[in-house]
Amino acid sequence: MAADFPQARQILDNLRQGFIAQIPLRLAAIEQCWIDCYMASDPSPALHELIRLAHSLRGSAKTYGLLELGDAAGALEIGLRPWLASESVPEPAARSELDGLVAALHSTSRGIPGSFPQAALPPSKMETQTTLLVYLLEDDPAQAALLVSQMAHFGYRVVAFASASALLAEVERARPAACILDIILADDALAGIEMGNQLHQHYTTLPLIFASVRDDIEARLGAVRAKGRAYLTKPLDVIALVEALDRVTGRMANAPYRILVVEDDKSLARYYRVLLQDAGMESMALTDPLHVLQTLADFNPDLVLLDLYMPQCAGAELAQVIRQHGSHAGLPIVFLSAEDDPDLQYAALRNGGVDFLTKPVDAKALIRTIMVRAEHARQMSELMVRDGMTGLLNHSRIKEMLLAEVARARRSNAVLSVAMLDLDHCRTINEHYGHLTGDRVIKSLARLLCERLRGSDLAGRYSGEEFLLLLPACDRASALRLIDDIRERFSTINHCGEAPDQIFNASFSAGLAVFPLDNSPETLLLAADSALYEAKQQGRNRTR
Amino acid sequence: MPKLERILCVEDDPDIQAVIRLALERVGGFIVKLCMSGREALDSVAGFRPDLILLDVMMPGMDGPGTLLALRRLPEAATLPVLFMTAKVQHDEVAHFLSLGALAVIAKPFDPMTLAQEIRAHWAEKHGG
Repeated sequence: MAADFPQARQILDNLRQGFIAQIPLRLAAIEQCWIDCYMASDPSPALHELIRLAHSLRGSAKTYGLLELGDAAGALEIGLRPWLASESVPEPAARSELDGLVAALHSTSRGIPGSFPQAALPPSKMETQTTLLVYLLEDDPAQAALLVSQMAHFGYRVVAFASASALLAEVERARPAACILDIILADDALAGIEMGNQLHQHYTTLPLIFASVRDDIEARLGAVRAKGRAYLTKPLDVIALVEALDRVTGRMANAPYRILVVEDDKSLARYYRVLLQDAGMESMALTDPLHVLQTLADFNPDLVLLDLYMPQCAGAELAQVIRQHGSHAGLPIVFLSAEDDPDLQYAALRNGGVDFLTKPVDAKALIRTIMVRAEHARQMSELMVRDGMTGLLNHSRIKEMLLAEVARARRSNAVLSVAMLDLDHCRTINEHYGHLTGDRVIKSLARLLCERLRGSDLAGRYSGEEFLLLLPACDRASALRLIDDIRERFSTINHCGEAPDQIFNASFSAGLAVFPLDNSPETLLLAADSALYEAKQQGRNRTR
Repeated sequence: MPKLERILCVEDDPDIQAVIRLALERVGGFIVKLCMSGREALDSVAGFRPDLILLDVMMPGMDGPGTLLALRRLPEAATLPVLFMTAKVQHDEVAHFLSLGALAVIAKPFDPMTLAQEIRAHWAEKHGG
């Protein structure tokens, strides 16, 4: 394995950050020990412990390059040793000197950036929903303006250009995330294709989408040859365009895989976590395996890395406990052990494992195995929990999540808002414009929800035209603001029927319920449903 | 020159363990077994079959020199090269450690980016490479 310097430096940095975050805890322990040395009738055990803590802090601090802190800890250690040798408690003068050394420890630690109490590893970067810039080549100003306003709801800032040269000049100045090119410009039936070719030559990674009334093979081939990533016919279906843009810009990329590490050796657990973070995966370490069920519910991992031999219980037994739960049926368990007897390995796999890694484990093998397994598990579970048409959670899954979120809110004494949304006049839309159009309207609402909801929110398709939203840590006022914002945006979206002149708007009504005002999943659903009914009764297109 | 692949490390501090693992596995490409104590090292050496042992000097219970003496009594470890890790690197201290039978002394704190290199250099020197 070749030396992996830049990555190793990154890992070292992460380890260092982890150490720095723990400094307050270590100082608190030293402080407590220091007090014990004077309070206890026999100071000897506390004194030994204090020296050990100071010595350890010195070693670690210096290893991570925190020399001042290391020196302060070393000074404390040296100052304490004479006490160990003598039988009596130190004189007041010596004692205040030692006090000073402990204080010095605190003040040097305050000078270290990042040393405030927080989670042991720095949090991985959250996918922030930023607006993407898209350039549009379209010489019909009305169409251009329409598209610009519609796409804004879905996180795309569209800038329209009437001429190819203007677009080319601007791409040079400010590169967009993608370009949408109309094919017919003025009298030139293939102007858009030529533009595409030019763009592709200079900016090979810039995704191009072609849009045109032309639907013939010549235009389509031209688009393919100009390396267009999508071809849409006009009049443009906004949702189809949004989905194409999502795809070519990779915007709705996967959330990082979450790995639960069950390993009683704290240093090993930390090491695995750092490797995982380095590979772009989120993780959590569980050193007491008996808490596994609660942790699974809270953390909801894509994969569990399980040490086979732990003092509290055998990994194989724990795996069987996990498998007892139908809800974890698809959760992959990868065993870790120094065990290299193939029969024992096989026995472990039969107990619910999906793969086996032998310790000491090669970093690359660990990451590769986990990546592949987590990816498969994600794909499978998405199939099981998502509604095919909208990509939102399906009915059973969103109800499961309601139970989980209520339990979580109850445990952390937090507030949870639940919203029931129902498309207005859905039957009329289907009858008037056709079911295909009705489906598109539903898809556009789903996509808007994905766009406007926060990362921690959950959205599910409850029934044909009903959606259930779970908004953790969101009070009634905030939920109202959020839902009304979405409602207003949705009502301005122009939907297209089958015929080119059929453009219409749609709206939804919403009902809100809040935990703990309603304090069980059942009462929350009932309350949201009643509120939704009220909204409909009072004229629709509103939130109650 | 025989290949240096497997290293047994004895280090009781979890923070330093993490850095050693990084330095030897990630940067150095070695196969590493970390032990928290001299006792654990004695139990592991037959099963792990290391090429070299890295031994922390200051440990609670059996310290580095004590562990070295105990290792030398085991047939699997009687002639294994041992490197001490310590903050005490005055001339006379180093001489003392070498006199106990250590191949070399590595100063703490060490640079994780160069630890593997340093160990390989000592290995090469020992084998006249």
